[in-house]
Amino acid sequence: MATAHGKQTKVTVATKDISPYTKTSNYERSADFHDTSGYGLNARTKAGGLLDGKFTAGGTYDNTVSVGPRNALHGQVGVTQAIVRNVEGLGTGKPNDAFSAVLVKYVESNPVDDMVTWSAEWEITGDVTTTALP
Amino acid sequence: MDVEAVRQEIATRLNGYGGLRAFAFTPGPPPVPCALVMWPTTVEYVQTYQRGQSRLRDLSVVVCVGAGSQRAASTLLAAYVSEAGTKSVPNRLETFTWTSCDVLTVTSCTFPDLEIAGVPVLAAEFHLDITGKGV
Repeated sequence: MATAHGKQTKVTVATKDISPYTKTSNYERSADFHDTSGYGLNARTKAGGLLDGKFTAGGTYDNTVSVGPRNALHGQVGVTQAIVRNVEGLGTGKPNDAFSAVLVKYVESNPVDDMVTWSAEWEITGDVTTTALP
Repeated sequence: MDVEAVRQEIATRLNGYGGLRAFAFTPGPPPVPCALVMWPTTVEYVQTYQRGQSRLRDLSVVVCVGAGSQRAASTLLAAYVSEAGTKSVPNRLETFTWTSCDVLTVTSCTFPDLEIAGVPVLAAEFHLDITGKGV
């Protein structure tokens, strides 16, 4: 068993590696549940339903052509993008999560006394395919 | 970022500007007026995933003019400290497209007590915040 440090995280959006411009990301999975309770029980019973998920990321703005966050994300709001997330970085056997997600929000922030930053939110659509890197 | 490349590029940018002799080391004794590119207070690595960006916090550039008792030295230092004008150090550094880093910001200026060869000199210390690519 070993811990993992966030600095190794790799995030690719629509084949563009935005890792060098990303400081934080969150991957959230959830599921519907349905109440199956009937008479005679002391506690509710439930069954799982449809899965759902969200992905968020943010970091330091960069205008690098094609793979910088402005060029990779700005103008793509509402578009379904292929995202690959490596929570432990690269290496044999390390997890690789691949999913499609709709970019639902893109934000740029410009403080006068610090770097321009960006953040984005995606709604996962369909299944998440988790494999181990070769 | 290559910290030495950043320091050398700053020195090159300031050398000859407004009569300054600029150095990325501390010559002994330095000629005045001079600009000495010092070291950052902190080098912050791993600012983004995969070591994509790094940051140099509070890199100092010390500008020394003549002895403080000379009126000309005071006038000269004021020109270097001003935000605009033909000798403005902040303007010289801010209005440049850097190759060794992405963004260089002159955040503030302080006035340390310095001596050269035992003689008090007027000096201004410019504080720079620098960001650029990591590995």
